[in-house]
Amino acid sequence: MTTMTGGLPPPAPTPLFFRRGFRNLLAQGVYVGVTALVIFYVVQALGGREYGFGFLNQPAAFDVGNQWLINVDGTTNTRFTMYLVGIWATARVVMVTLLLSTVLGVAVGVARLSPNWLLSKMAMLFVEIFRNMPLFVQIVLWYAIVLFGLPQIQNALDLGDTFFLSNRGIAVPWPEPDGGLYGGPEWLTAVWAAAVAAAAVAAWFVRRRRQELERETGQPHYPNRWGIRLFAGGALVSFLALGLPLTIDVPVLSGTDYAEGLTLRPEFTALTLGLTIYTASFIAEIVRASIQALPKGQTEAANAIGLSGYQRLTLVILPQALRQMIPSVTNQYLNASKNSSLAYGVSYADLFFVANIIQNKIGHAVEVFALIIVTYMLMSLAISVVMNFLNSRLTLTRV
Amino acid sequence: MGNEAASAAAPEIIVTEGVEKWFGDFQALDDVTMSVKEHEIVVVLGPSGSGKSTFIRCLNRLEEHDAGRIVIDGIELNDDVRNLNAIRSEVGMVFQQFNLFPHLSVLNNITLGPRKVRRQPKREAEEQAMQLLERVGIPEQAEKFPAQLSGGQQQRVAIARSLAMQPKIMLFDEPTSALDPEMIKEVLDVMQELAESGMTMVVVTHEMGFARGVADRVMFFDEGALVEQGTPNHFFDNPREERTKLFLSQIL
Amino acid sequence: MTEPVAGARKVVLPPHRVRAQRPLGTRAREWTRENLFPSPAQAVVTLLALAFATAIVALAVYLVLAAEWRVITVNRWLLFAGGFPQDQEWRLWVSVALVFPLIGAAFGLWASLGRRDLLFMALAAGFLFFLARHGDAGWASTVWVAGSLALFFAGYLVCRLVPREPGRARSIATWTAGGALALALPAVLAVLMAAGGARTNEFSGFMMNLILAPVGIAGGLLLAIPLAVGRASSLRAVSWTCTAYIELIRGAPLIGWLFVALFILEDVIAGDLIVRTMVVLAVFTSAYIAEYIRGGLQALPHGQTEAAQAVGLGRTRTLQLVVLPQALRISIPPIVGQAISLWKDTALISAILPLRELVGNSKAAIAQPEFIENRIEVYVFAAVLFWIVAFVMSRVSQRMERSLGIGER
Repeated sequence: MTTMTGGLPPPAPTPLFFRRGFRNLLAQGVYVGVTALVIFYVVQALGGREYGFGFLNQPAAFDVGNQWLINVDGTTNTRFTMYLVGIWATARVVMVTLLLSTVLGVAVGVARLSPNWLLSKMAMLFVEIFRNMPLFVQIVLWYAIVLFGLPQIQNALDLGDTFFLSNRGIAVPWPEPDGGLYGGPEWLTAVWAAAVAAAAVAAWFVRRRRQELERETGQPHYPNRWGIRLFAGGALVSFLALGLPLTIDVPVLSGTDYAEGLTLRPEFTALTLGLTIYTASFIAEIVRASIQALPKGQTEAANAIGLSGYQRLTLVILPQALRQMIPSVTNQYLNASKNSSLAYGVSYADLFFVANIIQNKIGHAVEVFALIIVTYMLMSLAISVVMNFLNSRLTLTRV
Repeated sequence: MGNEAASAAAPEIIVTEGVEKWFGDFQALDDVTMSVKEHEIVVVLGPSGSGKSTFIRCLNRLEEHDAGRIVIDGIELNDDVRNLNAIRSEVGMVFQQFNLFPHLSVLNNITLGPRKVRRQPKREAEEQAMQLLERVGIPEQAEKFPAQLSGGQQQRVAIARSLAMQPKIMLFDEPTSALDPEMIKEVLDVMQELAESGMTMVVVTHEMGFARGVADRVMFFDEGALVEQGTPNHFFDNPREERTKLFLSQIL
Repeated sequence: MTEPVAGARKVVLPPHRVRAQRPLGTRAREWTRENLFPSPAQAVVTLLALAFATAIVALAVYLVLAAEWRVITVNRWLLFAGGFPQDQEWRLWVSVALVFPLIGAAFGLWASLGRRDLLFMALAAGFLFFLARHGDAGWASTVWVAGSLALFFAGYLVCRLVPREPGRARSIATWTAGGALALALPAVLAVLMAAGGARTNEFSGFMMNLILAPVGIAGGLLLAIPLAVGRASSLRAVSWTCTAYIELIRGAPLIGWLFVALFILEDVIAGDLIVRTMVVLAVFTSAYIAEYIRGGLQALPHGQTEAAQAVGLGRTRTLQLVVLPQALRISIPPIVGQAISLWKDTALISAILPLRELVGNSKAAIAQPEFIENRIEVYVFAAVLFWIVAFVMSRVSQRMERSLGIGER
């Protein structure tokens, strides 16, 4: 059949210039040329500088406060080490912020939809106030409140001798490694940590095994319940067996500073507070919108099978709204992680602050900025990967 | 029926030869060779997924065929950009989902092509648009927006929009499938009037009444191939192929 | 619940009328029971919330009363336009007089002044008069403000005369108003700077925020459209570079890009720091807006493109006449969101750059020995100013969403 050539004359060849493929190629060629020219201009304009990352390996010769767990001396360590200290500072703020803002955001978002008029209006006020105020001003304001609103350390607010509030920061009790009841070495704490990790792994396997059994036999095998039991039991038994190898350090006042315990410095406190509240106000809106987007039948069905208000929320509404809101919440997490750079406004030594010090001391602005942007991109990537994993798990198991 | 002139030695305005179309590994069109004469009304039938829509979408190059040739009024459909522009103003198309532009009034929907492609003056384009609206029976809706019209009215506007480019050929891709039953007739009436005026039409449809009453020729597609074609009487009363008989037994 | 009140005639009324007929006390009691104390658990929640709310309000009232607001009244002009040359002050008021009738016209054309809007206008007017009566101002400023308000209402009333139904008169009016709004920004810049006016390095205070944010948004929008189209393009070289650009810009926080404006861009772009800052704000915003427009492009049914091609429109025409108008309309709400975001972000310009917008001038106000104790007051005032503008923007966006939702889609 294909050989049948009706009455059609052979097609006239198309001149190259009128072929669409050629036109596309031409357009792209012109585009690439212009782009290359722009890039060339920028590169050439920046060509007058000296380049190289060698400056990162020289001694830092500056110090940063606000360190936790690690103590790095800027006089002996390299600039790159100090930058890593900045990354660690950023990571702390971001982790605490993401955790707290999620909890607060979900709570406010749910409260916004409460049948209780007062609660709902208060949630609305929270959202409207904090969402429309510049984060930077909020952070600066919190900092001013902590520094100038709280009493001086000599008159620190003392809450039952365990919590202290002053303009040197907020002091809270904190667990410290310890030899335990039998006066063993401090590394007993590490042994216990290892035991907890082992219990977690074991619990995970048991849970998986029981899930499989459930699928094969159709009988309930309570995978979650047994997993939690094994984990909690393992942690507790090893804790007791090692003779309680942790103590809770309660802060005390000593002169012009706190001793013992954990001190949340004003910079960290203001930054985390501002970031958390700001991010929470956005998350609350997302939570509200995704719950409202659920079909009404879901609530009615939950009522029909006799669930209580709390059960309805945790078993029916939130799990479904969760899938809706994960992409938007991920976006907010990414925003919050980048917004942590506003640490600059309160001189909290995060990665951007440290990078800026390095630039002020030695120049190399282009390299320093490259370092900054790569770091933030990696952080965004890490958050996206975790959230995508969560998202895929949720959509897989709860369809 | 239709145009008696068409059966005479009218020139062939659409010629296809060995047309093939692939979507990945799936062959949507398999060696389709056919021709349509000027003023002829051709109805294309076939079960869903038979390639009939893909075929008429190839006729104005909304889909590009992968092998074979399509020649419309002497213009070869290939990668020549001049031919593409020429063919689009020769061939009008009406879609299943109307595809009116929701941000433009009915009048602007119709005048968009003439004004921007043919560079007609605004006044002239609007006068022509009003005549076309008159022809499809809804001149009073000119200032409204598509969302304010019923489905049947929207499809009639879509027909008027295609006609405004003064095409030689009109393609209809299931023009009544998205309509409520009570609106189908108003659209079919417009199409019939168009057929009687001498337009060359290729219509994909499930309206057997239209096929019997208006078509000069019926083509039957199955699994991407042109299985059988003939006059409506021949096709409906004496089908040759087994697949055609099976199809007819299912729908009639 | 619905039993008739004694003595009432037996007329069947809709439920809300029945409820409205009963005495206020009963209704209040019922409302309270339904909305505050429907169950013992809810009652506990209400009481806790009430205690919390009372504490917050009490604290706020105490702080407002204990605060010393003199720092604001003394420094109001510093905060608003600190470095602006004093003999050129009239240019600022002319700008206000230029913008106000346009806002009034927009209200008249697309909305109407409700009770809330009037209340808000009264507050804004109060604030402007407060500003105009600053330390060493003459009465001319006050006259300008009064004139601006009159022009606002004039613009509103004139535009109320335009019919709401689509037609020739309305389309002329909307195109005129839209064009004037689009030209407002360059016009204001011209008024401020032309013929011996202020230089860019004399911009400062709240006025700088009010200029930088619109410049960033307008510039960002203009850049974003080709970017979004480029990212969705079938030409690989184009879509890859646009994607790379968007992801790169979104990779670093704004403060990082301000760092670039300060330390790197001086070699690339001629112009002083404020011009570089405008470029950075526009570039930064463009990447985000481009993503929203791309969302709008993807949300369009493919049939729209096909129909446009079928009536003979080429690629560019299809984009310009059919695809973009619809995609832009879909993406208006997130674009306004981005505008609000940029508005708030202008607050961090002074953090790193030697430019002094509102927050920067707040620091200057506190730096005076006299006011060193009033840090919190100044920042609260700045926060409230930012808040008001952002809140108004979000309300306008909600209105726009609602009015776009009806009819034309």
